[in-house]
Amino acid sequence: MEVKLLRYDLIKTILYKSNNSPIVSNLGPTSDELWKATNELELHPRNRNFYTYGSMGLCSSIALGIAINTSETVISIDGDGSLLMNMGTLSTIGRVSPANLIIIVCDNEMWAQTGYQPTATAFNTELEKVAKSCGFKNTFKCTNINEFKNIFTKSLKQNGPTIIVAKTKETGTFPDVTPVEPEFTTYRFRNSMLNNTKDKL
Amino acid sequence: MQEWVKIIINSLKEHEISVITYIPDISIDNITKEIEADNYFNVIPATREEECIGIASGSYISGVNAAIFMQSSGFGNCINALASLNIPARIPIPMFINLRGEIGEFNIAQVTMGRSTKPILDLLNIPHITLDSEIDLQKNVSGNIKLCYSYRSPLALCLTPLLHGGKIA
Repeated sequence: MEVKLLRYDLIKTILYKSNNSPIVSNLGPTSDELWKATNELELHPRNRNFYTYGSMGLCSSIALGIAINTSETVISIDGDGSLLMNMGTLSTIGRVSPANLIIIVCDNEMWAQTGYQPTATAFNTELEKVAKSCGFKNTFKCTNINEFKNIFTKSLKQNGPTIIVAKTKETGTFPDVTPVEPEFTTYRFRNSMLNNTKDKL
Repeated sequence: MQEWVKIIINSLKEHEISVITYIPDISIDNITKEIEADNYFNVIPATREEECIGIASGSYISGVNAAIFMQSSGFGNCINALASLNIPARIPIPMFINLRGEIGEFNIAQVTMGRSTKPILDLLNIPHITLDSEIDLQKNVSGNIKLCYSYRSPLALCLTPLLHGGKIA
């Protein structure tokens, strides 16, 4: 049986290694776990976390909109269900080809929060191959945390766009909803970008 | 360059809106072509209007104002993104929407979404104006864009065939 990794471990690895990079997180457990991991690692408030609460499918589109305006590495923590809903954004990213964009797909092959219904990645769709055909420079798939650490560390030094499809498993529990007002997220994320504050936030 | 095109482009620059993301429409092709040709703008054609909302929102939160061009059919593709991202997160985006289903419409399939656009904007409590004349156009466009950023809300600027002349049979 294939080894799979936990989204929470993946998110902690991203936080450890990405310094102060802007991170956009997909709605639901991904955003909630990003908040929880940021808290656990005592990085709060980490102004450059952009949590989403709805707008399913737009996580990586938002990250693209950030990436075109900065030379910093921008990280999107997306999900298979969401990316499948807006797969066209892979085409647009391939067209614009931002060297500083990394998309990490937490691919659990299901819509977990709605009752673990399988998505198309549980069948024939391979998102890293879709991204490759859209013109992504680097495309990876990984199934365990050490592999992810190596690929992500390498990706931070490479010109993108990059996609890392990480096969994740569910624990059966979900953390509480991120207790941050969406408008507050906008306010502090934007101010941190405008002020270009490179220091630890 | 047609006067209305010039006025809108000047208003975009006045408000430092340098990122434009759009889905093409023949009736407003005049303006999107001028924008494409102008180095001031960073233009991103998307695959779907909802994606434009994501890109424009990302641009705003990174500190660069962004606007969208689309037609009313595409506005239908944006509703959940506006309701679940821009409104709760207070991300302002001026959206230039070519209204279908107005005078001279020739396609039955375009009428319902076109004519539903303004009522839906009202339900979402998104401010909107209809641009159907070059009279007071500069004040209308620029003043409403200012409102959009001060209110930190999406704004719809609805363009009609009376303004751009397109698709009148």
